[in-house]
Amino acid sequence: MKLYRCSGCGETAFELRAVCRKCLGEEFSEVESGEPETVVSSLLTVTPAGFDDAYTIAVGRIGSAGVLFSVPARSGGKSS
Amino acid sequence: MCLVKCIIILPHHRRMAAVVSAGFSRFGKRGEGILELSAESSLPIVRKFRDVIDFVIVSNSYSGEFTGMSGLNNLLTTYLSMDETPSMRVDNTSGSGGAALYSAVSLVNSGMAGSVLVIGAEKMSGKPTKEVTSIISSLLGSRERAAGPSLPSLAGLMLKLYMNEFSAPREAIAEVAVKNHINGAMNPNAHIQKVLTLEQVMQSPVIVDPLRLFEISPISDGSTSLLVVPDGSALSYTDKPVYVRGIAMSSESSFISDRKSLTDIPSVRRAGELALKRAGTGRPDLAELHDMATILEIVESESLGFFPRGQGWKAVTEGVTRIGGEFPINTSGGLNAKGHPIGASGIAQAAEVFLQLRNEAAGRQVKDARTGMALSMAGFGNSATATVMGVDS
Repeated sequence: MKLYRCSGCGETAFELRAVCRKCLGEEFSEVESGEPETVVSSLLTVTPAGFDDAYTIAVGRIGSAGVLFSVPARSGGKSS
Repeated sequence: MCLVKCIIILPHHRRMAAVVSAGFSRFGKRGEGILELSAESSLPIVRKFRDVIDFVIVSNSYSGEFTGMSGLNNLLTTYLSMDETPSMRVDNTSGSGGAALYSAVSLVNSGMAGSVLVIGAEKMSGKPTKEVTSIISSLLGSRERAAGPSLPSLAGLMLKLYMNEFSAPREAIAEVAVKNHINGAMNPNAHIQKVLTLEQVMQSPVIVDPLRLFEISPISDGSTSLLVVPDGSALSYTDKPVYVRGIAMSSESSFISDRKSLTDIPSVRRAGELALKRAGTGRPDLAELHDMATILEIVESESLGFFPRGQGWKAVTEGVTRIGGEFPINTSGGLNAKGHPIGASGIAQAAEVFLQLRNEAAGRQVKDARTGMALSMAGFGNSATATVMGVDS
């Protein structure tokens, strides 16, 4: 999974900011950081428009960075 | 030199705003549009005080997305034939009401306005549920949004973590919905006016595992209005003013992936702490919290320091937070039963505290209530406004 790494202090983050929240640096690079370790996940069955009707949403970690991701439901949902 | 003298000579009068009137529309799936709903709650105030209202703040988040309307504040003042009255729309998503109240209090405390009408309104039921879910999810970070979470799904994650971390039984969380539906059934303006048993809550459909339908606020239309004036003139409007003793806002990263813990809400903690400090009081007599989902009421009650961390669920099962309990929470029915028309919610929370402190809450009246807190929350704690209100000047 891709993360944003601050060129100043090395802090990684899932979402890009204009300014690093740790060192206030303003330069970032994209780094491939491996797969997240799941902290908690949950099956969602009422989903936003444009998404499948059911999938799992999860919060995880890659090192010190939190990530939010989804995993398709095994049975597969239909798009609408 | 003069400056120093002036500071010493000036009396220490702390300005304080007062709420002197409240107006309500019934929350629910309503046929009327947003202007009509807004007029329903605000006209009773406007009829009485039209001549003195010198500013209108409209608390609304999604008039563009839900009703295809921009400039709602100006359209609304025109609709009320207050054509020349200055107005603004305050948007802070689900926390719009708290931010609008913060703005109104700031206007009267600074002397920039003498009588501010705050109208909270949202019209949501015109869109299908998937569309509503998508619109509300647009407050998330772009990459997080692309993963497809709904706001309730974040509460589902919070619930799992909370139960695991604090060994809270699943039923204890659902008891929040039972309590809030009992309260909502006594509120004539609530969307859902039906008492539910624990079994009915636990057998309702799962929306996001393990959260169930009756534990999540419904999609509602509605409006609530308040009139905010300086404390010095409050008694010329009513003999029962309710004073805003302390109001505070705080924010937290909008990115869920930045949160260190999902079982504490730092923005709520900070806003609550500061509002109570400004009010110079400890735990108030009652509180209206942002229960978009049952678990949020419990976590917020802990973040606000009303109960020790991990113990809020026990207060629910022991009846502490019921009407008649030691510290009633969400006597209005909360977002859970009263409904959650986004822009109106925060105003409706403050309006419930207003009614309670004036002893006008009828069947859901809390005995001897003198102080209360309304907690308005945006997103998943992206921002929070705590307002501490009290009677006795």
